[in-house]
Amino acid sequence: MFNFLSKKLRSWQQQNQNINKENKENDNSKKTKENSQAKLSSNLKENLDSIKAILGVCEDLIIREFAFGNKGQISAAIIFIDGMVDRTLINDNIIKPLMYDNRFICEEESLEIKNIDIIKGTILYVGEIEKSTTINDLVESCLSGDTILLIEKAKEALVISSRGWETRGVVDPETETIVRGPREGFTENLRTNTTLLRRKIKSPDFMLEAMKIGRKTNTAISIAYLKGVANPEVIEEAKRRLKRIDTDGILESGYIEGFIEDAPLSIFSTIGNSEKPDTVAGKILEGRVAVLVDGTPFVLTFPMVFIEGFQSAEDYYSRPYYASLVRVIRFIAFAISILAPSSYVAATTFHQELIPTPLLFTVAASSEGTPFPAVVEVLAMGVIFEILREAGIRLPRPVGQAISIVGALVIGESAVSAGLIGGIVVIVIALTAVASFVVPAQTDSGAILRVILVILAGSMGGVGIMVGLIGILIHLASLRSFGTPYLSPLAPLSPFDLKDVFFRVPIWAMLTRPKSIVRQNIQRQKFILKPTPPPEKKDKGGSK
Amino acid sequence: MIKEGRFGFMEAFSIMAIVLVTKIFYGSPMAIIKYLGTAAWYGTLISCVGALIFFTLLYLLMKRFPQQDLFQIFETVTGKLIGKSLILIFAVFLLYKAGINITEFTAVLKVYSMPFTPPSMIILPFLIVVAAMAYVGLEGIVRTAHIFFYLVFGSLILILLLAIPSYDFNYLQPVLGYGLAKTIETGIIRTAAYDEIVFLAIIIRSLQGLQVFRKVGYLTLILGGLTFSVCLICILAAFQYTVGGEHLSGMYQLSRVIYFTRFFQRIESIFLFVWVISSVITVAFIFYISLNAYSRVFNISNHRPLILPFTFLTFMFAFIPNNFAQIMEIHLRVLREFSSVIFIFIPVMVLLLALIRGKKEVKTSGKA
Repeated sequence: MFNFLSKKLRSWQQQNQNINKENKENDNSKKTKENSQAKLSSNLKENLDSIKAILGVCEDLIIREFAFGNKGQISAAIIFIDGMVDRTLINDNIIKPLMYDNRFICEEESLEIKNIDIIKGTILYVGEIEKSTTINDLVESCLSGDTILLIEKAKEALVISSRGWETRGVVDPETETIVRGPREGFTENLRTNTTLLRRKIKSPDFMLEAMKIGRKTNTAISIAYLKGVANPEVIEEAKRRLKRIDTDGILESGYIEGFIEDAPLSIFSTIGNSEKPDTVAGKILEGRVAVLVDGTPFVLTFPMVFIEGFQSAEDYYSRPYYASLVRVIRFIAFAISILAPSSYVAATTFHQELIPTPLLFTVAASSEGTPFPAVVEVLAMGVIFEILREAGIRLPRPVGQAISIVGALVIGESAVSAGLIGGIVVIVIALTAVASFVVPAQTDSGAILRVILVILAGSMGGVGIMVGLIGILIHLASLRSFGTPYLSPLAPLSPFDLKDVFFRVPIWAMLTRPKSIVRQNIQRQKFILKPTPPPEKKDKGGSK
Repeated sequence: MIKEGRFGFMEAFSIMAIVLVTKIFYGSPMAIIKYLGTAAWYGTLISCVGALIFFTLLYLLMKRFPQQDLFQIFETVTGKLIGKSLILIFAVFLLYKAGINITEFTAVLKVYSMPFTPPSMIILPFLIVVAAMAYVGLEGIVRTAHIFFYLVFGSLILILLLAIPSYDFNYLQPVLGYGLAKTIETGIIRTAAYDEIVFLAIIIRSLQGLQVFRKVGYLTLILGGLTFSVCLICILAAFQYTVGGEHLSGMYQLSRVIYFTRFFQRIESIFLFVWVISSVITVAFIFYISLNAYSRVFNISNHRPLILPFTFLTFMFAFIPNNFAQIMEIHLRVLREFSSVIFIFIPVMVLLLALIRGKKEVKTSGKA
């Protein structure tokens, strides 16, 4: 059966590859055709017509034709997309210097104003300017928010960086709120995000490599890592996987994640994500690689290990004892979130002897008269909870609150008083719901595991739960994230890395980076950094 | 060749310890108490000493061929045909062992926890997980074993400690049981109860060298021997040898006598679930080695296509015994007493043959 499935999968992959190849060939042939015609001519009108022909009737395309020079003898045009550029920069730093300032600066005959290098070097007040000779490059730059300056009789054009669209500010991320720590979150702007990281890691070893993915969206991405710390094999592998992506569009980092992850069919994610620059910076310092994608505040990080989901940036900002306690609570909450409903089903259906007698009476009294078996009750309540959760997330906030009230009071209370479900089931599901939000990274996988375990518990009791748990664990043990075992440092055991698993040792004792992730530069800080107060000075005279 | 991955000392130690100790949860204590009475606790230590001697011989064999695993050594020493035949015997017997282990587990589960569930309904999901584990491979099995090692041994220690109020050490008398001669004789015969240590020689290439092999082997045997002995002392002290020899699962019965206030009672089912884990891991490991052995015989590079037919065969083996009496009197005796013919006798004979024929691995330059 496995063989059959793998054969099917292989043939499907083969077909897919062939289609990709054909697509690529088609695209390539088109591109070469276009490229052959895409060189700039010395005629301004011709160049403008070519650009108009490619961009068609775009209402946001602005072409501003003007003349400059002492007597306005040189025709030129600037092209940009409205809304994607900083208009003040264009008016004050491009048009004004060309049309107004240079009349006073240069005399007509002394300056060969048509020389594009002189314009670039002496007239324009913009930080980043590049030359280009092909129409395709100009169109691509224009669509990315740059301004194009075309000049009559010049076979080159200037690509002036003038990106300036409306962006959301750097605000507290909604998905990773904390009590103590930086309150900034990534935005949808790639450059803002790289800046946020650069502000955290001001080292020449901090590398940002640019790449564009998506045939139609041309989405800019950045690969961020710490040279000399991150495993070069992981970096190379990441680049290889990213280059392999051949799709029309990348709209969110989730697309990239789907294309580069190690276990695409697993319910567990082998690539981490975060909205917080300090979290991502921390991971980069540990030797991980980050991928920033333009248009999303979620930054991908890898290699990822299972226990990462239980760690929070705040753990490292608060005192180690409390951080350790919270860490243990997260593990307990995760266990409750996936095991509480199934344990209830198993105990009430198969192993009543497990329940202490006084408690057994309470459970029996609460479920007496309910028409459904425990497994149906739990599954039904689980589905209702998921519906309420989804509704609460998608609906506008005021309506979401109403939904919560309906869920908690109407459905929960009414169902119990109507005798449809037992009161204990409501408690179990409520506890599960609260616990499932303690570890956000595993919320989605937890929901699936919960259902599987409830079904197993309903059919085989505790044995079913155990069989299910072993199945889950064996799956986890088989996962890898860019060569790193997913269950490390627990299995394979890496005793040194246990300093940050079930408990968090003080910062001064975190001497090394995770050994399962980093192969070089493992030492993180000096050995003796434990703060010690200075020795007390002996008062020779004594107090009198 | 099947890619098996590599793992460290703790992982190897965990899997071998679980494989050796799992049988304590089922019919093994009953059998040994029946044979040896109050001398059961040191009878098993005699078996352990026998296993340590066997492991020393096995180590000598592996030392002569440091780059090879046991199956490769069979072929090197006895030639391709006989070597492959020996590996095939291992493969078939291991499959039988996996099947009977499942039956034993099912029988105990039916008696204590799920009396109305048909055996096939217990065996099927069990085998599905075993097949999934075999699909993932040795590395996955070993890692899972390492994670559950603490849980399995922790629960074992907890039972022994929580049952302290029920112990009466006068029940260990008469110390000599049914006579010293019988104890020694049975102890030696039951060396086979520890013969799973031979699996370590089969997976040796996944270990980090011969030193790790030696360390893991000796330590797991000592741990296994002590665990068996302590558990038998506790069972005898709690139930006396006459009753102790009647319990299908001595450890389960021990967990049943735990009583701490009205709220903490009848917690035996929790321990039963932990034993499910150790049984699954043990069967998966044996099943995987059987697959591996069969693949070696017929030079099959990928063991995965074999999983489904082997799962079916294991299912068939699991249904060979008609009742629990058959499991105890025939099949468990084969596994715990006469399996030494295969797991101990064959490797020792191969060692002798290697010594007689002077077969030894030729060291290539630059390689140890």
